[in-house]
Amino acid sequence: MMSRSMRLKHGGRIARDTTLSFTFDGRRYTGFAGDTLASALLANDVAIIARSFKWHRPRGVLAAGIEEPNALVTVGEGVYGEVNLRATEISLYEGLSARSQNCWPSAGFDMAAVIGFFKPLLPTAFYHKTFKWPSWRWYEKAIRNAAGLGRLAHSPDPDRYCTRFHHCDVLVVGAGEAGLRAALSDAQSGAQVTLIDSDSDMGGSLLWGGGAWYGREDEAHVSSRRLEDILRQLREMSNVRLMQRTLALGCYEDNFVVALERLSDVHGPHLRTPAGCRQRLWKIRAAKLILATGAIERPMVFTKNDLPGVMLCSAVRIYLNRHAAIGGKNVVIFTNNDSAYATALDLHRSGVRVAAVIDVRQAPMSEIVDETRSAGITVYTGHAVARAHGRRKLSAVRIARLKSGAKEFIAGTEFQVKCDLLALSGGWNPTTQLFSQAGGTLRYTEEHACFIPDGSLPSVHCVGAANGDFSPAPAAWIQAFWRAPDAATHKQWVDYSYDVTVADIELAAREGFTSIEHLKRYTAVGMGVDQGKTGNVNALALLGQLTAREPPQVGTTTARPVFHPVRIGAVAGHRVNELGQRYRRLPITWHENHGAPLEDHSGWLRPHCYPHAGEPLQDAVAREASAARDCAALFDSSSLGKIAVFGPDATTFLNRLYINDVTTLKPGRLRYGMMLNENGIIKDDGVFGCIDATNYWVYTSSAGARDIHFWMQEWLQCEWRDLDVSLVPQTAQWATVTVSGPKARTVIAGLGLAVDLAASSFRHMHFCATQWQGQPMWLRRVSFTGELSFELDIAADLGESLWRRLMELGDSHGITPLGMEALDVLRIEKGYLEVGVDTDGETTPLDVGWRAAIDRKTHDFLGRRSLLRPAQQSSDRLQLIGLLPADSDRLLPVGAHALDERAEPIGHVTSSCFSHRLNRSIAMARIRSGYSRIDEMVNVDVDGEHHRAKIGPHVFYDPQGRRLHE
Amino acid sequence: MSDAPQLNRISSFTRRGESACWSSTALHITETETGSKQLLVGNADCLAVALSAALGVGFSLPVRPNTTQGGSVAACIWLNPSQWLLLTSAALAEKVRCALAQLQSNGLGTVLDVSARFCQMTIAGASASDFLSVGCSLDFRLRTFDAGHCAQTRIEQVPVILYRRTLTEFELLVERPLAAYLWRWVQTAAEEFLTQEQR
Repeated sequence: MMSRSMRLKHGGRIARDTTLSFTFDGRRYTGFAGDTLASALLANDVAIIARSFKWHRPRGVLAAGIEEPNALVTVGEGVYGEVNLRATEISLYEGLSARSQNCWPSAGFDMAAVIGFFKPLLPTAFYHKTFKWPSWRWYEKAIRNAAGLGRLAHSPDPDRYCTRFHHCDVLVVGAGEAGLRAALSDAQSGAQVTLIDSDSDMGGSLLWGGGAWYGREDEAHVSSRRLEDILRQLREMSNVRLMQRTLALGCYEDNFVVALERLSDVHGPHLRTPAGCRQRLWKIRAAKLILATGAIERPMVFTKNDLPGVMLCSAVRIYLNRHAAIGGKNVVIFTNNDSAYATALDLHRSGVRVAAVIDVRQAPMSEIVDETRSAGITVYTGHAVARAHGRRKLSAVRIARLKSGAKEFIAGTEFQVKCDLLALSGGWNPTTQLFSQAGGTLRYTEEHACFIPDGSLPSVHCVGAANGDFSPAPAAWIQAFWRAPDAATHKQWVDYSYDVTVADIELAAREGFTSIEHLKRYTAVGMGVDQGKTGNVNALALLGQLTAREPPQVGTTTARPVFHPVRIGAVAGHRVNELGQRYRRLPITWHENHGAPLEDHSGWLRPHCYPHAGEPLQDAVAREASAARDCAALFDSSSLGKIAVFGPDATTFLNRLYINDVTTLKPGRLRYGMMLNENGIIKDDGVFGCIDATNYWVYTSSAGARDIHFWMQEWLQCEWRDLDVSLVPQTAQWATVTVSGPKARTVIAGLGLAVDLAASSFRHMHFCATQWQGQPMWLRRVSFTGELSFELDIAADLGESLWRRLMELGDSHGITPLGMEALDVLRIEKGYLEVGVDTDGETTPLDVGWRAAIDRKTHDFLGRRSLLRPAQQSSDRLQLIGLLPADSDRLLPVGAHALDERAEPIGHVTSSCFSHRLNRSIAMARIRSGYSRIDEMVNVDVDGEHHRAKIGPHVFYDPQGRRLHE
Repeated sequence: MSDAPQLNRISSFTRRGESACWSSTALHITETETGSKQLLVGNADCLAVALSAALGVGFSLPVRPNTTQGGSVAACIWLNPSQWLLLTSAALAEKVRCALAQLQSNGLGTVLDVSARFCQMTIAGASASDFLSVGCSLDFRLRTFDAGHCAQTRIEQVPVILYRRTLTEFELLVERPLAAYLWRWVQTAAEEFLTQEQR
């Protein structure tokens, strides 16, 4: 059967000479340039576009803009498919392929609609009450499959997205008449003005018949002329930037607005945009923000008000005047205000039959009502639509006369009117979400039956309809009317998007969910993809009726960003794939050129190990660790944090930061130390070196370098402003190479440094400045392996050369590059803790065996007072100890819980490895009262299996440290 | 084996060692072969006297926050009330170091060589500020960031030092560990500035 054409022969802003072909649910249709998918489907008489979220009810188009709650479709195929798009905001293009979603086999006939028969048994929040036993998870998958929207592709999004920051004096959001005039006014005063609008054309409601609703015959021409005049002036001004297809998503502190620009609507591999991107996320900072975001029309609530063929009056008028498309040929209008009459008159003038206007007001006095009557349109005042009829599409409405007060129908006054389109206007809600996000408050006004901004913010102003300015509306232009008094509340939809009915709100009220925030969470009203743009105010007013409160007493829910759904790709922008993580690179590239796999360690890409061809990684790790113990190993420790601390008060400053005594450190000496935060928790560790009493090097962990520098700055700038100390972060300036092992001294000697390397003169924890190839070098004798070790700092440019030279010098001594994994084995064998691995946000130095150092220090230091609290002094804390599994081959996974004899958790494994040197598995762990449990056995839970392990000291190898001092 | 310092640092990270250079009609980005970078710490007047003597021309340090002082032989970037970053040619570096070492020995200032710490890029062209706005939240309008202004800011969350030489030319310094990431970002973000023919 051929479908009817619902396209008018004349009118509209469509380009009738550009025919576009598209498919919906596999069927081919045509439209015109300037159409949206929704207008093109309406013009092709496609009534059912989607199925509802929960009850799979047939749904058509309700609105004509971003507020559309029903007509959600999937556009594009495969990886280019995009789900949950409103048909009302998709600009038609040649070859567009769209399909309905949440239905099978089609939106017209959906097998899942059978669930509607069970609706009386499944009230709102039924799953909260019902699916508690044995566990929600047991039902979750089936329920998630049954309810839902479009299905995402399982492969990565192939599209690209970009971002841009922008600054302006005035940002105007919304290019309707109020926005255009505000922009013009500010621009004429010399301000740099940016005007953004989500539509592809500027003009807002001027594009479909006039900012006001008093649709006199000449109004369209006047509107059009006004629009062209303002736009021409704005375009001629160099201080004005006009941005179409750009939707403000959120407003944050200090007038920071995030907006999304649609660069292309095409879904497919042939994206062609100037930027090569699908969308651009704008981050706009404006000195002044003007919100001219207009208002969104409310639907009326009555029985079966969700049938396809029920639309908002504004939508009917937009499709008629912009797209020359009509949703029906026999129209009934149901309203509580004057604005709907403009729709009646526009339809009438276009030759569409308006069967009746149903107005709930007993005696509307406006001129436009009289004009409508004069046009021959029947107006029923003091009446309301009780219910819509039709199975899958509207066929008639039942109307009845209201008693005074509009709370009941007068019995026996019911009658039926046939129609195929019912246009609703329940009033207008100013679009105040951005204003609320900016910190603005709202107030309810009886005059307009809606919430409007309660004044302005210092630099945020609402104008036009967004500010509740509905001029030239006459007095008494609207009468609040929240629901037709019909008994079938379970079929009166309030929130189309999440299938919330009046019955659901009644149930919530009965069960005590009388706060609007509770109602929202209990019924999910306003939580759908439309975020309650059409349903929220009706819902809160109905809750008010049920709990004897007026809308202002009920209040509104919180309007959080984002205003409109946004693709996660647009938020990510360029930060995907290899730009997804900001890895730091070592200055030495030898590693990757010699086959070392690089891995993330504290944000640095560092060599995991250096496998020979065909060598398993674990063998390479064992080989490297052995080399460090037996001959020599070379390690790139360039990521070691380095901060130069100098100034007359440098010693005092560091003495306040470290738990160690800094005052006793002699020039040329290093000391291992810890820093705590104010709560006595270990913040970072590392060595620090004294050049002289006013000059120090502070070496931090790789992860901590930046944070520690900022933290030091904070103390100096905010708390200890009397100290004369300067800080310079120097991590990136120096490449650091560590030579470790019994033959390290021999290897280093080959460099020909002017330093006496003899054990008696350059001892463990000594350091000095020297030169290599005429360039400054720092040489330290310090070890993280437990072996004789030298750390050499050289300007980062020379790091590669130094590394190569040391590899040459060590070649005859069996030198081996050492990766992170082998270093980890060596440090666990020695029981060296790693901050952040063997410690967490509760670990104090007392928990890792540092009581003696603290007791020795006579000066105050950061965190000391906290350490004196009884809780920190308690012996019942997690303390760092060693674990030796009874099965020496059993590797204990990091994080595995240790259990006491009653199978209660008493701690967890923090570091673990297989030590080839000791030929057994070893681990470090934090165990409650660990120091008093030495030599006790515990069970370690590994995926449900219990493994016995003996508690011992956490130093497994060379506990006397003899090898360090060789 | 060459022991010469790496001058083109970003190139050493790029795939196949291609040069760190990107160009379109209105945007040119190149890695700047680095000269000397010295961090000066101390009193602006004392440092200026020493510098003027070393450079042989009158030289003052910028004392207004976030400004630079440029000359034919050196450029100086304000970092905080007592620290400046001095950029000179490598040839002048030793002279500057000697002059400031004298100052340092008198306890009037400190100089630290940070030449190897940064990679440097020049971003030039009519679209230079638009390009920077892709990843940097600074307001690049001339009334707030004119030639001679500098900032320690972030581009795509990477800490950088940025200063504007002219209306259409910026210098960008990034610490070398993140230079490879930033360069990859530059290549990606700059694509939207390609001309139609280059696409």
